[in-house]
Amino acid sequence: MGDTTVVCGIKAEIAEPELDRESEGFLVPNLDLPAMCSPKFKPGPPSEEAQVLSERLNQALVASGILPLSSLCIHPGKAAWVLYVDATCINYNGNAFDATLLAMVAALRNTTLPQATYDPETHRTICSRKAPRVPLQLSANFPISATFGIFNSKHLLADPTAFEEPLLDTSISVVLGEAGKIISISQAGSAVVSDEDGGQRDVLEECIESTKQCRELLVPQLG
Amino acid sequence: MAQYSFDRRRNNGPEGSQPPIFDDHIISKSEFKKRKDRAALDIRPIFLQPGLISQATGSAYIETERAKVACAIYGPRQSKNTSFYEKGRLNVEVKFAPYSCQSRRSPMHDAEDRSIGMAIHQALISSVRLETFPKATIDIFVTIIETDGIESCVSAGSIAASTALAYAGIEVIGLVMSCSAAAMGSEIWLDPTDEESCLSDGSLVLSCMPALSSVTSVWQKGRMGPSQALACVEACQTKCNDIHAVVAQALVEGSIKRSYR
Repeated sequence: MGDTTVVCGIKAEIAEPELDRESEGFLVPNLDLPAMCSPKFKPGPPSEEAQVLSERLNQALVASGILPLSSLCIHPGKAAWVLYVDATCINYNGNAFDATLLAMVAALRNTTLPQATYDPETHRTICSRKAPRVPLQLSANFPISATFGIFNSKHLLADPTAFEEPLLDTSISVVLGEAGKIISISQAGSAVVSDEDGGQRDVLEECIESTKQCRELLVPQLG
Repeated sequence: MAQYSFDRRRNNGPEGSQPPIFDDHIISKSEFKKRKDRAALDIRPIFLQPGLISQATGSAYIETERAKVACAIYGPRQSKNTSFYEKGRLNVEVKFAPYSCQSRRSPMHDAEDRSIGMAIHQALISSVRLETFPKATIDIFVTIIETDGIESCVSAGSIAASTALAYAGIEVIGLVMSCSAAAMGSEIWLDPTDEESCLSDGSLVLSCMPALSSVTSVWQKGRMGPSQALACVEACQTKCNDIHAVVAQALVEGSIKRSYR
């Protein structure tokens, strides 16, 4: 997106399901903002920004129910798939959230899993190399987000860059699902914009409306 | 992931998970009598793009079939610790993306990325004019997006880092090129893939500055005779001359593109 570049890779592994959710697998999204992508990040453990973004991505993916976790079950109580959805930012030029969510959704859409069978006698799960791989059972309700910022309580900016981000008073992220259903909205600061003639208006509705248009444009591109 | 590491700063998966086991994963050694897709002294095609990362002083992205490496340079900037150094310093940090390998890597640092960082540092250090920036540090961050054997990580990483240094306008005495070779019996295969280097007796990574016809580092492991090692060095050096032309071309194209921005 612009100069922001995010690469997302999905690794599938096999684990024992949780005791209270015997027939459910796991979806583990993480975003890494390495020191490479921008001078403002330092090498070492994940920065605060990376932690916040990872958690918001997790919320967006879980809340949208893009992937029913029950479809990741191989054998109830014994084996289930764990999908590690890892995104790495290569170039950070603002608005990593939208770019990462888009990368994650796109990666999930072309993920295929090998057919696996659990052998109760040996307690092992064996995958077949010959049988065709199956795509994930994704719902159509995949999340697409759009982020907006308000500068100087006057200007509403869509898709803020790294230069604009620290100058914004307010940042609004709208995550929409199928048919414009709202999955989540996060807003930091006030959404009131004052016009040139002194009048004030709330722009949250406007943001949701333009996210809807954005989603309509993006969905066909996902293929 | 073999060992489980709980980290409250990340979203965590379940306690302990294994990569899938396939019903047929044994590759017999006899299959690799002769190279299938290319000649023994051929390397994989290189795609190189300088200036990928707009925020960095200099950057480069290199792709040789499956091996994909991105590199960014920041600096020269003030050294973190206060001790005085008359020369500048070069700091190389290598990071594997969690999805870069066959089985998922833990996002923490481990011994492998440090040793690759050391190898790239060794390859580059003698090419950079450190005396031109006293008290400062150049940070070289290398992210490995996909691996194809440790040898290609080192060679692709060195080429990318040297290209990025030149693109950043940092004074170097020559571009460092790097090429790997594996000893397969009596034959020498250049630029081995992961499978090939696992089956080989030994492997060698040569880094050199073709413009000055001098070697900056040789990194050899495994078992090979001295004459075979020298033959590997010769073969790598010849190939490095070719790679040098590719890199020079990419740098020219990159700087033309930058001047139009």
